[in-house]
Amino acid sequence: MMDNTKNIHINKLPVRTWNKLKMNEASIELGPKPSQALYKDEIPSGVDRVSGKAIGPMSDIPVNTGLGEEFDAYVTDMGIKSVGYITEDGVEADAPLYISYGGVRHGKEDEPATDDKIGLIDFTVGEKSSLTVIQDIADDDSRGAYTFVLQNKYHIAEGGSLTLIQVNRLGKEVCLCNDIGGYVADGGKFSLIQVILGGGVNYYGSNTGLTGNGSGVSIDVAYSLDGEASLDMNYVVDHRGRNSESNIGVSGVMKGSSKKLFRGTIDFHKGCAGAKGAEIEDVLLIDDTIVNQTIPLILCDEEDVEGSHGATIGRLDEHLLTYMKSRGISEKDAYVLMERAKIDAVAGKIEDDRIKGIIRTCMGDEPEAEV
Amino acid sequence: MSELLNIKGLKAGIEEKEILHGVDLNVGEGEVHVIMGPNGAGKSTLGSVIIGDPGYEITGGSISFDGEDITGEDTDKIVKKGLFLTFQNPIEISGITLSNFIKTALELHTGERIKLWDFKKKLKETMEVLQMDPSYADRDLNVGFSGGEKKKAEILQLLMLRPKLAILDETDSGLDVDAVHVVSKGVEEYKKQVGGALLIITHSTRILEALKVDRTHVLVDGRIVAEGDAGLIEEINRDGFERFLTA
Repeated sequence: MMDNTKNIHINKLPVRTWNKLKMNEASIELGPKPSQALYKDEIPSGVDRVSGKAIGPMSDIPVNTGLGEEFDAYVTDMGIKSVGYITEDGVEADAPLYISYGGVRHGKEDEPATDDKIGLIDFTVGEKSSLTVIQDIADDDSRGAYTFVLQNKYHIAEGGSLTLIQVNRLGKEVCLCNDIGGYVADGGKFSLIQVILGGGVNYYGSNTGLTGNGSGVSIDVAYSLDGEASLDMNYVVDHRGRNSESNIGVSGVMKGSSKKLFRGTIDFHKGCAGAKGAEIEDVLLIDDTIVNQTIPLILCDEEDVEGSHGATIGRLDEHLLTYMKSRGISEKDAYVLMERAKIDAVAGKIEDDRIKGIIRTCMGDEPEAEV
Repeated sequence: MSELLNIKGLKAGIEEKEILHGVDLNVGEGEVHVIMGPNGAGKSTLGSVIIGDPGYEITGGSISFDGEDITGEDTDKIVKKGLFLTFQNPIEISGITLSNFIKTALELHTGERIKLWDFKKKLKETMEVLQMDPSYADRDLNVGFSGGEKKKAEILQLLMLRPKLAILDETDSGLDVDAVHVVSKGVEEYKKQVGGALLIITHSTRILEALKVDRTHVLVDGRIVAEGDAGLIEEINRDGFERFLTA
């Protein structure tokens, strides 16, 4: 079996840094033929499901993805058809498109499947259309270690908006390769919300091409890493349109011997005058045995732009701890509370009660009560 | 009244600078004590040291609460015995709602899980007493709150946590007349519902108007220089602290 695996490089930085830091890229061995991931979808009115590439015919611009070219080539070589979802022009979907990978059986009743899975999805959002997609990334009937390859590509037409919400609650032995890429036309908006509560080895990548004038992207990521869990991230925004805007916010908590590498690149290409981009990272470190790496990158080939990055990395502020303790909350409990706060801050941006309930359940909360 | 808080010869300071130079103070169950004094006298330091703020070092004396020596204990352990301090400038905590913060604190005080419905009902009723907009329950703790709302949030916690002794540190400072009235009403409610003791640190007297004060202490330069009944408050209102400064 090992002979058939393929070693590929993913999450490459657009510009390499000192090699010794081992932050330029990640490498991963992927199996030769993962099976198609099964899923359930709930499609709101105004959205059509099609088989095969949905975004291909709509643009000649190639879609770059966060995990990168080698990964995209690997996915293409699989010859697996993607599932496409399309909204026509001027359509505002009346409910989220809900795609769930949890609770779907692959194998026979008494034979949990352990083979690798792949899911490929394309979204096309028409002019002045609006679509929210929720992906509940959970284990199906699989147990133990397997790799889940998930790739989402999108095209957002003029004035359209796509919100992609992903909640990862996979088992701790699962490796998730979560790849996203697409482009946004004039006045379009892409919002990405990712809540990472599961998975043992996680590779996350997103590449947004802001090709249109006045286009925008906002990325909000919250994660909680414990034990031996790892998270390798690569978020890239290519500013090409004038007055395009990007905001990347990544926030998380690290415990145990967990590892995290955040790469965030804002690339101002020539011609994107008036563009603004900001990236901010907030990491709460609980144990001394974690490995935390960060590499923010702002590339600039245009003069009239604004780019910024900032990071808050460390332990809790003494004043905050004293205030918490004054209410009977010990230091240990304060860290637990702040961990939840970081997840809640991102989950609070989600308007769908069902997925918010799933997140709360994962965090050990009771259901909401009305008084 | 049996003794609740007993402070003997307390010396404490910060970064090798002694601020309290041997404070003696006794507060009985259900009593209302007032600590008055000019700016920089050490009033807030006293409140912080009582609850074990690690920012201060105790260099002498002792503090006992409800018969137990709490000198040098961790703050969270001290307050779980039934102590509470309102902060002059309550900290803002992003991501934790007022409701969630109080529920967590309550559960850690009682050691029991509290039913969400019961908690929300009690919280709503208490917020009504303090004329707080119910939406504040779901807002991040103190984030974007006005000065008055922050002080109300402190009193809300007092009413929900129901301590045996509450130390109110300048709770009425920076508030307009209406806000002082509401906060005072909350403090009255605490006396009525819980019957706990109060140690009120102030250099104003507006918050005291509706309370029966048992004892007044004047703190100057880290020492209690005068003690008396409620009549001492009237004297200070009239003549200021000058007599004590030159004493």
